[in-house]
Amino acid sequence: MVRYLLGRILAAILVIWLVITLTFFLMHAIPGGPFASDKILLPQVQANINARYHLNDPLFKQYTDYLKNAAHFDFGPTFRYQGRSVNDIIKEGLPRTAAIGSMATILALICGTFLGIIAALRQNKTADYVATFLATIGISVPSFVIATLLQYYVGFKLHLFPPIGWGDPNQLVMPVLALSAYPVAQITRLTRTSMLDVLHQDYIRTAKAKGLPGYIIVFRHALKNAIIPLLTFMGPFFAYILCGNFVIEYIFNIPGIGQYFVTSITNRDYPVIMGTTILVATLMVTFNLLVDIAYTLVDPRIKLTDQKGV
Amino acid sequence: MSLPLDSFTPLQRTQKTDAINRPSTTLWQDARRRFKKNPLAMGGLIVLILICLFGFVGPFFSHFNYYSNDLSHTLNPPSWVHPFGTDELGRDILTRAMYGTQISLAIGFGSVLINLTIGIIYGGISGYVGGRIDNLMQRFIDIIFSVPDMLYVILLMVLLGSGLRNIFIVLGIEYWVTMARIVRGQILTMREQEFVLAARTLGASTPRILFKHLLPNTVGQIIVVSALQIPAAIFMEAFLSFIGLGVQPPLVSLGYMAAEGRGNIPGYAFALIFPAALIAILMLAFNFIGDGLRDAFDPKMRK
Amino acid sequence: MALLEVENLSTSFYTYAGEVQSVSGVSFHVDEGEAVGIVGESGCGKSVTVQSIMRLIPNPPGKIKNGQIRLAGRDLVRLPEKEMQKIRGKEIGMIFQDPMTSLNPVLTIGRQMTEVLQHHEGIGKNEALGRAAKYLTMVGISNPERRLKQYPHEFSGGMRQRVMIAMALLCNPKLLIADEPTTALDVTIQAQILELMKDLKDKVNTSIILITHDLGVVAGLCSRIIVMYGGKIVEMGSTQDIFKDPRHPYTWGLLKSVPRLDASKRSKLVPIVGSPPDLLNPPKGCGFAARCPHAMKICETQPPAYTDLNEKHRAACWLLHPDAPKVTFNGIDEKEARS
Repeated sequence: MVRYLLGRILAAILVIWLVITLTFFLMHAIPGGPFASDKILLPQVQANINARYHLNDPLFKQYTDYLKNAAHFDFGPTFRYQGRSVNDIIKEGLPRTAAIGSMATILALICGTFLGIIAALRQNKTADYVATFLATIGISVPSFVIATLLQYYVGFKLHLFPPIGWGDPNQLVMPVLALSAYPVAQITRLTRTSMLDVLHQDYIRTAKAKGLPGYIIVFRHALKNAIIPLLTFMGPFFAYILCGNFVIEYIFNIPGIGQYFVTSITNRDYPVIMGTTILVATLMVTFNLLVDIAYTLVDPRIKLTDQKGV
Repeated sequence: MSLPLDSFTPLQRTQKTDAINRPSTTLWQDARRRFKKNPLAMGGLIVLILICLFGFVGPFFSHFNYYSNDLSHTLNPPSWVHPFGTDELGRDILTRAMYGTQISLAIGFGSVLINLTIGIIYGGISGYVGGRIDNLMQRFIDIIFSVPDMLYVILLMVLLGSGLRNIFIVLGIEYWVTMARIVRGQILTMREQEFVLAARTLGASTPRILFKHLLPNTVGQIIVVSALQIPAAIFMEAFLSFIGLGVQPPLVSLGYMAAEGRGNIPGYAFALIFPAALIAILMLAFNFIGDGLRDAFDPKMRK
Repeated sequence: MALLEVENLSTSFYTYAGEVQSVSGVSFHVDEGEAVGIVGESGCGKSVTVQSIMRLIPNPPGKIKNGQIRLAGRDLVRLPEKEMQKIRGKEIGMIFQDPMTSLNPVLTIGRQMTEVLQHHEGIGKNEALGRAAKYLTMVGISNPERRLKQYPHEFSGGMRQRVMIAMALLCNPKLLIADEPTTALDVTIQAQILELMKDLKDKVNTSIILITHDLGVVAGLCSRIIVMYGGKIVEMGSTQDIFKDPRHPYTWGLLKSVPRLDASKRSKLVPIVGSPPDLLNPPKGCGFAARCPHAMKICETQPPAYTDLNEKHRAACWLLHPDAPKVTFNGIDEKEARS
């Protein structure tokens, strides 16, 4: 167990290092550089900027410096936000992003599994069609469209919730709804499929033959088995929530990581892009590790050893 | 009870007794038949064909093009001349949507074609060769998988610059990981099965086994995944357009139109809703087709 | 006294191609403390028959169309689902074919065993665990306390089937249904499980319905045998009758396809040629006519009625009609060996 965890953590560090390396060289391969889109600067100003951001150092030195700093969770200064470091921006934005993200995740998990179970139990009946229909809408409409429509009709027209901004709990409602629409839909579909598959297994027939009532069969015997394949998709969901947030925060004008990221792309603020990328990758790797541990909690057949599986 | 006199004369066997009762069907016939029986899937297919006609034939019947501005008719509401109104530069939204559909469909099919090729080759080699090479190739996939695809699509788009060609490249190299995993998984399970063993005992060579036995058996899965990746690619392009990394004007995609229409929503919602609805219908059609294909190819459904 | 009476049971599955009459007009009974074997090849309706008794037919597509199933006088077909749940696991225990997939992989053996007791008898967890351990010992599993904490994947196939048997017997059911309990197991394990069931039959005094496609399996355990073909019972009788004086050509075929140690060297194993009837379009006459070496004209047009041969022994075959040519079991052997 300990050996396995150590191995996984080492592998995770390796992945993060690779991500840092890749993003660093990708960003430095971009022609023009961070200030290219601006007006032509005086040579003196350009030189100052280069010195300030160590852009004159050999690329490899820049890389090792960056790596050293990143190891201390220091992502350097930003290009566009005067006097603020990438760390400041992360420190400011992450809690907001995390709040919206975690709420959307919880909402998606609860609603998705609930709808999925209902659909599976009422296969080919009205409830199934309603759940499937909702799920299909959820995966068919881009989140920025859902967010815009919510913002305009629910926010501006009906004045039910404040359409933009941050600070008031009411302002969380629409971003969370818009962000969770797609995951809810996907989880519903997956739960339904997985549940239907499990309900046709021999051990469910055994449970019925034992005379157990329906709710015990569903919740004790079926659900736990149905969740196992769902776990596989938790990684991609988390990724979706992280990146979907980019759009949602931008639309609802929430100063989280996502908004900074999208703005930085337009501004070509490379340190922020790199810092955010590394942060997101780190979160993803951690999350995937947690999912693997969760597997062992749900499925007794999987032991945390060097090789996965039975 | 009285029985006819000859009741107890033995029968003369004419027909063969061990003839198979039901006509045998191949996987393909079976899948096609089941697909045709699925109303949602067939509906999706019909809608997809209609949308293709709309995108590729529609422009011939339109009096407008997608790039000419007409500043005297900006943000017109729907009318007979402009059934879906005009945008803020006075361009006919219907006509632009036709071209946008073309581009979006091209992005969907094109990128899936690219990742199909990469994924099948990568997964095929990894799964078939096995051992150390497989392990190494899988670690590489693990690394790619642990970075959200949206993130590296964005990074690559930032690096390569926006534009249609780069979207093809970036989306094309985005999804192959999933495809490679599926192909590898299928091949790993197939490898263990008797018919491959039988083929090997009969002296079939490795490439022959790979192409004659393994690939045809994974084709069903591959088709299903592709059908579901096309809408994902279209979706991703819409997302890229939204953050300004999509197609560049004057070219237009459905996602680009929707993102652009967002700016005019107070009062001119049609500029957003029309392209968004087209995206949604396209997504629905592809998802229904994909689900239908999955059900059609699922051997568990065979009866 | 009859514990279970099945009368004119018909169960169909409604598929997109049409109605598949998996079981049609099946009647039999099981006495208290008696072990009855149901034999027949795959798809002959034996599993559907017992799943109908348990009301485990997935609906849709399946449905019990007709008939009565009386357990100690109560008709199970018309029982509300709630009442039926009290019968399953408590009054009728069931063992399935594949022990590898019949136990829930994510619950411990203890949990899966005790839940039956807790649900049906409302006893506490510790008492239930104690009883489960006792039953595990009874089916030959050593170290039951430790075993109860383990998950199914930590058991071998034979051990899992032992667990299934123990679980089915926990509430001392009046009837135990074993649906091909040995088919999925290795030959040596098969023998062990059969031995165990024989042993238990004497110990726990339940009636048993044993389903199998292997006549050898029933011989040692059952006192009566029901032979099913194409969704119908073609012959039934005491084990003695079926082995010594079989009357239906299908039974002959079954007996000839079982290897015997005491047979002379010259006798061959003879397969039954052809495949079972398509129950989507069942034949008008006798279901076996198309494969029967003695088929007569009438066999194709009219279904044969049952002929009672003695108190327990009956068969449905036109050969038993007084006007029919006399064909006997042994006579056939020679003829087929020649051709």
